[in-house]
Amino acid sequence: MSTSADIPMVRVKDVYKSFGDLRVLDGISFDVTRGEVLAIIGPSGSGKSTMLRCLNFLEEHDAGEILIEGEPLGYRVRADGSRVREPEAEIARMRSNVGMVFQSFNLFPHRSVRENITMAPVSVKHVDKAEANARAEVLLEKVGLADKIDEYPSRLSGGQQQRVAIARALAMEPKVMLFDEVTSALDPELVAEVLTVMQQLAEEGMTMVIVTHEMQFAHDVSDRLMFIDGGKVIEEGNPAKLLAKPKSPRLKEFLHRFRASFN
Amino acid sequence: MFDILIANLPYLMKGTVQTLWLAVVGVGLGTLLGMGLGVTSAMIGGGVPALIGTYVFIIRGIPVLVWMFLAYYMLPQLGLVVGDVTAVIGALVLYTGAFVTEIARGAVMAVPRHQTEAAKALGMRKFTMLRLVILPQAVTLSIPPLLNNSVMMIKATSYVSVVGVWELTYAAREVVERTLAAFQIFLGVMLIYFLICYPLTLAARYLEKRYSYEH
Ligand SMILES: Nc1ncnc2c1ncn2[C@@H]1O[C@H](COP(=O)(O)OP(=O)(O)O)[C@@H](O)[C@H]1O
Ligand SMILES: [Mg+2]
Repeated sequence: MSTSADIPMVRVKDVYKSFGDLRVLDGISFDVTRGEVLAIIGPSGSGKSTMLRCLNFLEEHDAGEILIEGEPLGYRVRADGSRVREPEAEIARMRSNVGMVFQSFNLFPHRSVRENITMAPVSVKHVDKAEANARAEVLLEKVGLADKIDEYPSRLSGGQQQRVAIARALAMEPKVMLFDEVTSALDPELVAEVLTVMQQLAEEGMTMVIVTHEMQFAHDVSDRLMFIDGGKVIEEGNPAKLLAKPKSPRLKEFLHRFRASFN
Repeated sequence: MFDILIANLPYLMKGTVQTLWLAVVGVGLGTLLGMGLGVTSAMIGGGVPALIGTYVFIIRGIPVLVWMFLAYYMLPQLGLVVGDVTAVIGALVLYTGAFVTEIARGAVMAVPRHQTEAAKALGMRKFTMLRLVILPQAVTLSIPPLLNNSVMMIKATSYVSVVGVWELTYAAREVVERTLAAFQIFLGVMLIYFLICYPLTLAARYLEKRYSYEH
C-alpha cells in the first residue's frame, strides 16, 4: 500500500464556527477515509450544512483545521498555532477537488445541460473542449439523462436537475463528493431516481459525505453514520447498529421523534 | 392642414439626426461608464463602492437640466473651455452613467448567491465566475431597465436646447417663431420623439418577459 492510502481523505480537527454569538460548530472532529461513505444525521439547526460547507470553504471555520487528503483547506496552521489564510487561487484549487451537490440544485440557468457540465472542466482545469464534451456525454449516460444534453435546466424536473448537478460535480473528477439534503426539495416520486445515482456512486468507491433525512438510505448505503447535535459529534458508528441501538439519549430522542413523524 | 409641418419636415429631420447623435454618444458612453462602475461596485470591497455611491447620489439628486446649466456656465468659469456640445454631452454621459451604475450594480447583486456558491464549489476563481456565471445573468436582467433608461435619456437630450445646443426641440422652436404654427409643429415633434422611443419601450417590455428565468 502506498502511504497516501493511510492519509484520510477528509480530516476535521477540532473545528469551531460561529455566526455572531451563535456557536454552530463546537469543536467538531472526524475523519473520512478513502472510499468511505459517511452519512450525517441530526436535528434541524444542528450545524450539518455548516459543517459540509466548511469542507469546501463556502463557510470559513473560525478555529481548528480541515485537511483534504492531508492538505490544509483555507488556512495553514503554523507551528506556533497562528494561522494564515491561503491565497484565492489555492482555495479554488482545493475546492476543485471537492464536489458539492446542493439541496436547491443551483444549475446555471443561462447554460444548457452540456455547458453546465463542461464549463468548469474547461475554464478551471483547462480540459480540451472535445474531451470535456465526451466526458459530459458519459456522465449524463451514467445519471440516465443522455437525451437531455441540449436542454436548458428550467425544462427539467427537479429530479433531473439534481442528477445533472451530480454529473456537473463529477465532471471535475473530485476526490470527495458532498451532498447536502439533495432530495429534500424534491417531490416524493422523484427522490428515488437521485438516490439510485448516489448509491451507484457509492458502489463505485467514491468518497462521499452525505447529510440526509433519508434514514433508510443512510442505513443501506453508508459505511458509517454520524449523529451531530449542537455542533458536536454525539454518536457515530455502524449505521445498522446505531439506528437499532442508539446509546446517547439525544440520538434516542431524535430517532423516536423522527419515527413518530412517519406514523 | 399640416402644410407648414410638411414644409418644415426636412429641417426638423435634420434636428432629429442631431438628437439621435447626442443620444447615441451621450447615452452610449454613459451606459459604458455606468456598467463599469456598477460591476466594480458590486464585485469589490473597500472604499470604492462608497465612492461610486457618492457619485451616483450627487448626480441623481440634481435635475439633468441643472447639470446642463452647470456644465455650460461653470466649466468656463473653472477655466475649462470646452465647446457647447462637449459640455452637454459630458452632462448627459455623467447623468446616464449614474443611473446605469445603479442598474448594473443591482443586476449583479440580483444574481442569486446560490449561483456564485455553485461556481465557487466547482473551483472557479473570481474572474472566471464573473465572466461565465454572474455577468451573463446580470446582462439579461439589466437589458430591460437599460432600454428604459435609454428612453429617458433620449427625452432628456431635449434639455440641451436650453443652453443653446441645436437639436430637434431647438429646431422646432425656431420654426414656431418663424411660422407661429406651434400646434402642428409640436404635434410633429411629439410624433418624432414617440417614433424613436416607443420601439425601445416595446423591446424592453418584450425582453423583460422573455428573460425571466426560473432560478
Ligand atoms: N450564514 C448564516 N448566518 C447566520 N446564521 C446562520 C448562517 N448559516 C446558518 N446559520 C445558523 O446556524 C445554525 C446551523 O445551521 P445549519 O448548519 O444550516 O444547520 P442544519 O443544516 O443542521 O439544519 C442555524 O441556527 C442557522 O440558523
Ligand atoms: Mg441544512
